Amino acid sequence: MKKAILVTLVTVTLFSCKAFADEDKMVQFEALPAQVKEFVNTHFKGVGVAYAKEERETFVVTGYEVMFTTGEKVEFDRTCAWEEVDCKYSAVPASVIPAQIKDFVAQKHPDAKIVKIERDRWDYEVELNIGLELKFDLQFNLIGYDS
Amino acid sequence: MKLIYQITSRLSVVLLVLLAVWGVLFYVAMLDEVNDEIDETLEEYAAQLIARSLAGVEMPTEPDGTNNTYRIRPVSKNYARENKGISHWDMMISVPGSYEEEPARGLTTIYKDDEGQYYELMVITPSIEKQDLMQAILSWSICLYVGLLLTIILVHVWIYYGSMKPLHNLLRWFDDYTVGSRKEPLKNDTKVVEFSKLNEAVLRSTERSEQLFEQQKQFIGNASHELQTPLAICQNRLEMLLDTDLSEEQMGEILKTTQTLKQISRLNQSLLFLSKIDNRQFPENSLVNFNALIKTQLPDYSEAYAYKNIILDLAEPGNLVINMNESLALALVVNLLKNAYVHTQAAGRIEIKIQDFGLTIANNGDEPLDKRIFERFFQGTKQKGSTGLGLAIVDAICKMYGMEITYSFENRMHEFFLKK
Amino acid sequence: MKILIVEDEPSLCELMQRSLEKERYVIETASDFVHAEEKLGVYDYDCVLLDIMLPDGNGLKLLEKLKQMRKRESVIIISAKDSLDDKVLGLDLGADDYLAKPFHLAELSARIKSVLRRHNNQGDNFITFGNIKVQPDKFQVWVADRLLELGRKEYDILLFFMYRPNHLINKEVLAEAVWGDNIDQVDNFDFIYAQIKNLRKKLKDAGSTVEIKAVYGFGYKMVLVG
Repeated sequence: MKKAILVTLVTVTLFSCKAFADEDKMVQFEALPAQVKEFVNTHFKGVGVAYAKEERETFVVTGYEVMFTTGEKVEFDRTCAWEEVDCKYSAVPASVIPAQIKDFVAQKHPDAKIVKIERDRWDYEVELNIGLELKFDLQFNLIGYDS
Repeated sequence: MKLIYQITSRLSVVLLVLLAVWGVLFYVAMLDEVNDEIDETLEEYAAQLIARSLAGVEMPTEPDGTNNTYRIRPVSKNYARENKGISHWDMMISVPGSYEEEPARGLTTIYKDDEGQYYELMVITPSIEKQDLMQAILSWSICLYVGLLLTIILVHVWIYYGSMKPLHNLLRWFDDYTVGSRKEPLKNDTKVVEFSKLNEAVLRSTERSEQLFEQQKQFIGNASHELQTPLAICQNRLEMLLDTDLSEEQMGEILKTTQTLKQISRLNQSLLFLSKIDNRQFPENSLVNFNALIKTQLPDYSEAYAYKNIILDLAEPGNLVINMNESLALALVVNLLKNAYVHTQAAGRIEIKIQDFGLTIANNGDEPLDKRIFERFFQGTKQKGSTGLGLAIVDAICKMYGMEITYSFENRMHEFFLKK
Repeated sequence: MKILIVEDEPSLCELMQRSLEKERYVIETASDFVHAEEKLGVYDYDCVLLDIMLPDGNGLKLLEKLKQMRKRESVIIISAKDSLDDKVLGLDLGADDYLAKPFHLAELSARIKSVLRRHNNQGDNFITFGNIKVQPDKFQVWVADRLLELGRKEYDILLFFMYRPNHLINKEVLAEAVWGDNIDQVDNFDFIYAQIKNLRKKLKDAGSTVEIKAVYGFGYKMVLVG
């Protein structure tokens, strides 16, 4: 019986901790990891930062988010590699986009601009300003379109 | 209390506690998850709004169909420093066109634009009724509790009776078991080690009891036999002495001694008789008519106990015929009659009723007798010359033939009822 | 009359011997199977009192031997085991009577008399004492050759005394013998007294030479008058 009570108490504590530790946190740009700052300084040189956010889940940092004063937004995973570059009202800096995708888009849709690029463990997703979404595998072969 | 009830009730209590804890945890987790989800959406929405405002794109007008509302206001640098970070909160908002307030969740966040001007964005979105959620969880928990409990109990009862079958078999067998009576062997095959061990233990212990019982019977028999010869010698020497010329006083003493000896030998004979009944040494059975048997015995008693002026009331509404050994039938009747005559006071009353299904012998008495009267050597009041074995013999004979002898005390009458 | 007592308990053996010698019997004793077999092989007896529980063998075997030897001895089995099986077996093997221990010496003497009488004069089954003659198989009593009518209990009492003349008969023993074992807890013997009174009167009226004497109020003794 004692054991059961103990287990219950521990579980309750864990749950409540989770409930309170789920908050994202605003940070100063300078406080971000070097890798993130390097990415920003490389690809968004001279652009002002509207806010920088550290995303957390149960005490663990799960990623970072930087919003620029131009309305552009970059998200990083917890290894500080970029996950998403969202430039809905301008265009993703060409230096961010892998060469193969850039070439593919330039070739197939010469008039379109890339406004958003996302990557995860399985594929790349590219959004064009003409309302098209392209999917590439990690070897940059086109998987499909999505509109 | 039956084991199954105890287990079931304990299980119910434990389940109640567990499910209550579980309900609370579930509620907290659920709420947390919902808030997380809302917060995420809010953050997303906030990020969109910020991006729009920074990019100088036209802001959505309220209401935009999502029920979300927002407000952006410029704030000072100090305010921004003090309120950095994102805050979430719950609130009640009034719904347009309705007096009711509804729960909502809000988010405020700070950002700055190119010029270094800080802004505070506040986003509010309707959220769920916590009350509703709590009630839903509570009622579902109760449903779950009842359902789970019923299922568990049903399964448990089923499994319990399935697995405890050998135990119940054994208990039933052991319940019916009496030492010394040949009983059908225990048939209780089980693969469960504990139960088979229990079976063995019970069998071993019954065997031991049987052995002891057997030894005891033999011992009583042997001891009684061995006593017979010395008793005969004592008695006969005194009798020879009685045939010589003796004074009255001497003769009186000797006679008293012979009476005592007689009592010892009667006791001895009763013990032998009992052990013979126990050993089933009266195999020959015949149909014995108790009406006739009793009527042949009664005159002797009436004559011998005439000085007591006992009123005898013999009723024969039926014929009692039992298939049994004749000498045992005689012993049965004689002991019951003797018991009645000896214990009835002067001018008392004896009622005998013979029916097709049984025999009732009742006599006057003042107080009910102890229920141990059928035990060997139990004597309520010491009676001269009594062996204390008469009713034990009656009981042994009845047991041997599977008949029932019961004692009751009603209307100041001791009543012995023999059921065929 | 010659009697052989086969009994392993010396004290009981001596007692039986003394008691029976008083009744003018010639007594031989044997304390075990071997001696008994020897004696039975050599001598003839009128009656054998046989304890069937002997230290060196079952007395019933002796009975079989006797049967094999075609001897005419009457045999009374004496046994501490009052068991029906033994009784039946013994009687089947040719014993004439069966007496369970403990017994009264008067009873023993009565049984011997009865057995011998049956054995010796088959036709003439009378017991006589004084001028009283009883024919047990016909339940008839003659006093001075005149038939005497007696009640059932009176007859039983007289017969009991006839087998045990000159012996003191305890009231309780008499009660048990005539009214049965069940009477053992009676503490008032007026019913015996009543019967004895009637019996005495009938005997006296018939001119009997025999009298049932009261002994100090303990019991009775049947004696010849004068």
